[in-house]
Amino acid sequence: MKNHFLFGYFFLFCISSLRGQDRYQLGVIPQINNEFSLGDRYELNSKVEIRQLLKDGPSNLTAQKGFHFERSDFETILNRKLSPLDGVGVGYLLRIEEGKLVHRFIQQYAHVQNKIGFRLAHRFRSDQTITDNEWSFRIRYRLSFEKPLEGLEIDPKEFYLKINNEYLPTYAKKELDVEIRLLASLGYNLSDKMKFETGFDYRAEDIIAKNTEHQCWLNLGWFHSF
Amino acid sequence: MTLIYCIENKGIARRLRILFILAFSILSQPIEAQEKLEREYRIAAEHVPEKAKSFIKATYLNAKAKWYREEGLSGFTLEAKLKWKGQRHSVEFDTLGNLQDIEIGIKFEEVEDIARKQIETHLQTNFQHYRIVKTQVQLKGSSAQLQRIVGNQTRETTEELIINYELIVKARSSQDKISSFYEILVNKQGEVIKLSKIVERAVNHLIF
Repeated sequence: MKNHFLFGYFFLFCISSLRGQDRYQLGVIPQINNEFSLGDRYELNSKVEIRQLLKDGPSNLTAQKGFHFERSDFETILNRKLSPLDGVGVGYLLRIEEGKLVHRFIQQYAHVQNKIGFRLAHRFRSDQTITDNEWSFRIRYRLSFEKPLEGLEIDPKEFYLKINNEYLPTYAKKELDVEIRLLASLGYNLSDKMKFETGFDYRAEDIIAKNTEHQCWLNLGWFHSF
Repeated sequence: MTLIYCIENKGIARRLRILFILAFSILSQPIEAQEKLEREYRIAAEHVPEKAKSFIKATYLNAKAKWYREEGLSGFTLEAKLKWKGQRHSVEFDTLGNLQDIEIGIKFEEVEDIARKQIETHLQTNFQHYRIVKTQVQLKGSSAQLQRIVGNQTRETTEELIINYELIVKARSSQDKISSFYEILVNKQGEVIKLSKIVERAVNHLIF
């Protein structure tokens, strides 16, 4: 019951943060995430994510153009495990957006901490994106909190709560800006190799430029390890 | 600036949709079942035998315990977890409420000298490098004896009392390609009773 309230509050927070002239987007992000183990040391993570826009403002392009795929991402990261809970990775993302191709190069270090009754994950990432011959650079930090809803560890066929908070300073077109993301999701651990997650992902883009865009996405995730 | 396009005008969107469905259907094929054989979950105190609750109440006075039920290969057990005098205690019972053992979180430095030296020698011999992440002392004995030990914070050494140490160690052996976590159970003399590698749960949903 407590979790229903949590999700309710989060949804209300997303809606209430949208004021008359603010730019906003509401939509759905389905995501498939697969992990392929390449021996003890390496693993390949592939992610397919397709954003579908349901409502936006103030331009209201969804009303003009109808059903939209905003963009599609295909990401692959080769991760080298330093231990079962640490890893460094390099990757590449191909984005298809308005028929254009966007290329992104990714480097990351991630560290997971096992605590009593919950886990924390720290992800430090940098990426370089090229769109129409223009480069943009980001440094990202994401803190994830995961808590089983039954017991002290997430066992098969159990639900869990996941909260992500990410900060993304961006340098593009000779300007610095920041994006902040907050995700609250409910997960179901079907087995040790498969998880489903759904939750709300709030994103505030262009915070320094004071032309902030608020985004609220319904996340649907499927995670699988081979 | 957000870029939006209408899928009806783009053939690529249709191809993407097919790709998405195809990927989902391929990956939804039945996979080899690999169920974890141990699981634990929280239970309410009213589902705990009176005998176990009485032991906790008598031993730990007003400390608040959280109760868990564990399912393993050898059957079911009940576990009370609580904080007592700044230490984490884990008290295990069988399903009838009979006391099995008490595990108390301690610092590795608190392990008795003879055992500590033996453990260090074992780790240095078998691993290229190691770090002790967690140490627990495991006490097995009669209810009355364990109650006295917890109450008085004394370590009686009678023949009936069994003292073991359970360690979680992050280490890398010559066979390991990366560091791994190990659970090591040693007796009072520091001799290894059991050593097992811990299989960590997946983290891809946390780091990607």
